[in-house]
Amino acid sequence: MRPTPLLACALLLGCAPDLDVKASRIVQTRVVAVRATPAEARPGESVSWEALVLSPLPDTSATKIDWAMCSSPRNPSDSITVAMACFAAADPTPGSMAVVTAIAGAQGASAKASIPSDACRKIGPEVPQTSETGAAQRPPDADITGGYQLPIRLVLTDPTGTDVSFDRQRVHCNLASAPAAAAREYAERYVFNVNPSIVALELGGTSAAVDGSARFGVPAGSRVPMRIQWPPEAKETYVLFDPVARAIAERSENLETAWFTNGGEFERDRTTPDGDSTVTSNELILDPGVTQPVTVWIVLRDDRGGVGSTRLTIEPL
Amino acid sequence: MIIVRNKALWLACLAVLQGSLAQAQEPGSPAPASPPVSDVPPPPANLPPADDIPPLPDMPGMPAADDIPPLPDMPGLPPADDIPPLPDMPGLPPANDMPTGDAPAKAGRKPLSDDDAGETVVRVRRRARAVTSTRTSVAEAKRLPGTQGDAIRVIESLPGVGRPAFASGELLLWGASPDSSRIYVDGVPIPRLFHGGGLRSVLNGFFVKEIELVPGAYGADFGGASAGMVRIATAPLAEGLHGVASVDLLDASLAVSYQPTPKLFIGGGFRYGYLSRLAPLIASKEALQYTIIPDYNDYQGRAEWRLSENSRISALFFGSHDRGTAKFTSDDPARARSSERNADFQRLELSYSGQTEDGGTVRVMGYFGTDSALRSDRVGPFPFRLQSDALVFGMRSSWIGDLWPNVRLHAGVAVESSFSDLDRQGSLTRPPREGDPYAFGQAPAGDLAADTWKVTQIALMPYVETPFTLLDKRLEITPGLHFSSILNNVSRALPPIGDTPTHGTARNLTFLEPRLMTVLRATPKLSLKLGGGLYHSAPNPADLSSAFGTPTLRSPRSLQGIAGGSHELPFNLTFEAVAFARRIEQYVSRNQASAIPAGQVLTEDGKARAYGAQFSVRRRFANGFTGWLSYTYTRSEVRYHDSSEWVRSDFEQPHLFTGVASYDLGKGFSVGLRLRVISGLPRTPVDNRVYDTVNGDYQPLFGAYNSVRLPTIYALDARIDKTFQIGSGKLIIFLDALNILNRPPAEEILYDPTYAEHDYLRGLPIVADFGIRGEL
Repeated sequence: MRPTPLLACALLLGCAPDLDVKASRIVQTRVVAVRATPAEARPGESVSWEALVLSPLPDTSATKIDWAMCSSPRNPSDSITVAMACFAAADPTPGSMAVVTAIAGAQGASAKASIPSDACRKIGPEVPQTSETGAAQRPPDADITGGYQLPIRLVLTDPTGTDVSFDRQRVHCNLASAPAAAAREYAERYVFNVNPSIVALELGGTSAAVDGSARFGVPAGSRVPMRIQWPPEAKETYVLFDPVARAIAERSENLETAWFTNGGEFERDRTTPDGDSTVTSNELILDPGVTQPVTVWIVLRDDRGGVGSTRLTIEPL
Repeated sequence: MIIVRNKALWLACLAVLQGSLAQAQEPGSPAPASPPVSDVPPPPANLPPADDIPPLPDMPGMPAADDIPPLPDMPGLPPADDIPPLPDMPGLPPANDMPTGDAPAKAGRKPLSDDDAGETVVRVRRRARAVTSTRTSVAEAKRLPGTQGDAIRVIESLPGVGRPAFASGELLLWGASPDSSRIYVDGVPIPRLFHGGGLRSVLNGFFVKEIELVPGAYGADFGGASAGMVRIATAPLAEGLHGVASVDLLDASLAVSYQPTPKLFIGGGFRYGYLSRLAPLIASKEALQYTIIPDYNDYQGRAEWRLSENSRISALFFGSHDRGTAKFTSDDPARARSSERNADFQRLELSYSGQTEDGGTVRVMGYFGTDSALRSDRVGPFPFRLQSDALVFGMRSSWIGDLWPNVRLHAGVAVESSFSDLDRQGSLTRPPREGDPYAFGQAPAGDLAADTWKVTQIALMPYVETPFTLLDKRLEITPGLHFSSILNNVSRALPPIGDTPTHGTARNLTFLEPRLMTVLRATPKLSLKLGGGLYHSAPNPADLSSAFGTPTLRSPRSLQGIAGGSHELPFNLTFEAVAFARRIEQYVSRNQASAIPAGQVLTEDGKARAYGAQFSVRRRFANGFTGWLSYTYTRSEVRYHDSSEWVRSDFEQPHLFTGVASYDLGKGFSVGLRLRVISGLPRTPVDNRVYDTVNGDYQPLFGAYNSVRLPTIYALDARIDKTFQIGSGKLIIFLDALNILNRPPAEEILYDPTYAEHDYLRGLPIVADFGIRGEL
């Protein structure tokens, strides 16, 4: 086994180079989040997706997104959070790979499709009883929230370049490997995930609309405190099958907020609330030389894949 | 160990040393605290300390003392190799304490008198156990630069030993993975040679006689390693009262031995590491967030009962404990990390050695112990935990004697058993294993599996060797046969599914492993060597999980061959050249099938190969000077699956150059230098990236596996020490300065969170360790 970062730095006091690249600073047109409705779906159900796109360009009419669905389960040798087969080629041509299917009818930042009816057999626990060798097949492991995800690949192209990203659509599957009693309890008690929502936005102590219409005038180069709020019910409670105890366990969602802008950077790229607080705050540092209107995206995520968001525009003064 | 951050601190370290020296040399100054007084009169002032007397220089025209071919066996007498321990003479240490002159053995000698000036060092040629091995005595090793007085750390400087990542202390022998090599103390296997971070060995040098490195192609008396091994030989306790106390910036240790009765010898030692307590004083809070500084300690106890002139019973108890934690806090909760490492082991060894009536030598050894290790990490919300606890026991017995004239027999049997309980939780791919593309600091995928399993491994390993000589004893051929029968029992064959009861799996792995060693002494100065054999290692219990591994894994099979020779040169120099090759089959790696059968996450269709050549020139200690130059060229490649290409091994370092020199300046001063030039380890570059909109993280897309390397490492280390003779004891003050070129090695490629930029994570700049050691 190789050393992990913490061990790796053993006794390398003061060894880390300064690579302070801010993820909140957008220098190329890219997808920062994908909001699915519903946030969690059964196989066969229809889901619509909206990509939240942020660009440094004032005109985004040339932006094009190719949407595709990937049905390959992640192999243990895959080095990222989805199957490498989903990214073997950045060519989104439909049918270019058997496991990748273009989402027909996708338009720009929106797409809609049905979750394949066999999704839980491909990327979930309901794998075929026998593998190619005739032995029982090992189902993929659920994530730490007990969920299974169907990769949705987005390839964005515009004059600033090509950006490849993927969403992982949460698919609700039955517990196939759990004891029968646990499977029954799970089916009875599980509550589908719902996207969290942002209900209040403040900029420098001034409230703003959360529907994306908010505009503020702010001096270039200034630091702007920002704060958002969400309803208490956004932090949902759910049950999962705990593979350690092999029993149903109850968990509460964790929420985190990601901040993005194309006209500066945030003091912190992501923030979390303290305990059960329903607010979080950050500070935007506007670039001194910015002259064009600056867009800010604030993305609220729960750890089951739900997304809420708001945006506002800042006019440099 | 201290990182010298600025010139002032560096000068302060020197000033402390200079001050100590000045005080010691100043006439009339108060004497340093005296060690316990011995009843033996002090040596004459014009003689060097007993420990520092070098071996006698070789005579012109004569081969080196330790390379003299074995004398022909005399009828009715046992072979020279098998001469049992001589009876202890009043006032003299046991005979087998004398050759290597290690600390306890030397400490056991009566201090020199005028009559001792002509002391003859008796060297008994030992039975060869490998075609190529490097033996280093403790007395020599502990004064070499880079060891910081810890003799076992000389391993890092020996030919063929790679530099592991992050000074992890792992053994990289001729490009093999650390798991392929084994470590033995008096034939007892131990799980690690160094405490956490590779700072210190787990065994106090007071109890060590000799360190032997066998990078490959070892003899028939050992098994279980598909690459090489390190063997530590402990030293019999010397008569009288002796002790060693040491204090430096890493730890403090004390070891003593005593002879309460003519036949009973007892000793004990303890070492306590306190760097974790000093670190906050010398390192920034931010730096410590990246750092696991282990709390460590080790201890040893030994008792010997000399039954007769030729036999003894001894007990050795030793153990090691490491505890380390680190916490990296971050404003970004996804990047907060914490880590915990615990590693413990204990061993109790009981042994009997003696001589049979027919002149043979018998040794019977049994051991019992525990191993425990915890590795726990949390990266953001993702946990990983692997806990293993094992009960181990085993035994080893051997008999060596004459079979016919010019033919001897060495036969024995070894049993190695372990009963392991393992508990693992986390992602399948964390921590990454060999063959996984991985970016340093990359978060786990987020999948969560769990398993608890038990593994029982009982290996029965009889062996036989029949060394015989031809050509007037100039050709020595040692054919051997090692047989392994490994019972491998795993509690769970498949992951639990529903309410179906789980069942275990048991396999008996049997191997017949022929070995051969051949040495031709072509001329008195030239020896040619040829050897090799077949080797297997037992499957790693951590790989036998039904959820994370494959319970039915077999044993990697290794075929090794070595050819070379050595030649005596003038000026006490010995030149050695060796070519080596190793091929391992049934190499374990991840299953890359699109649909993985249950309980088969790992496969064993991989292959590994390594080959290369090694050259060294070594000067035996003479005229106050010792040292060596060595260069090893190694190619180490792996084909993880039948269908994949050969790629560089994670442990390939093609060029290893080491130069070590130590010179006795006289008047108790000794200086040394060590230069190492080492190829960087291979790494897989990040060619591109994709964005995971759920985690809000970028994910790396990798280029060709291990297609780039970390930069070459240039490290120059220096040591200076001063020995004060105080009565029958002595006081040694040393300063070990590492990396005096101030070229921090690149230890890893560090990427920013977006994988847009990267830089090297650098290792230690100049490091100075200052210490004091007292010996009685």
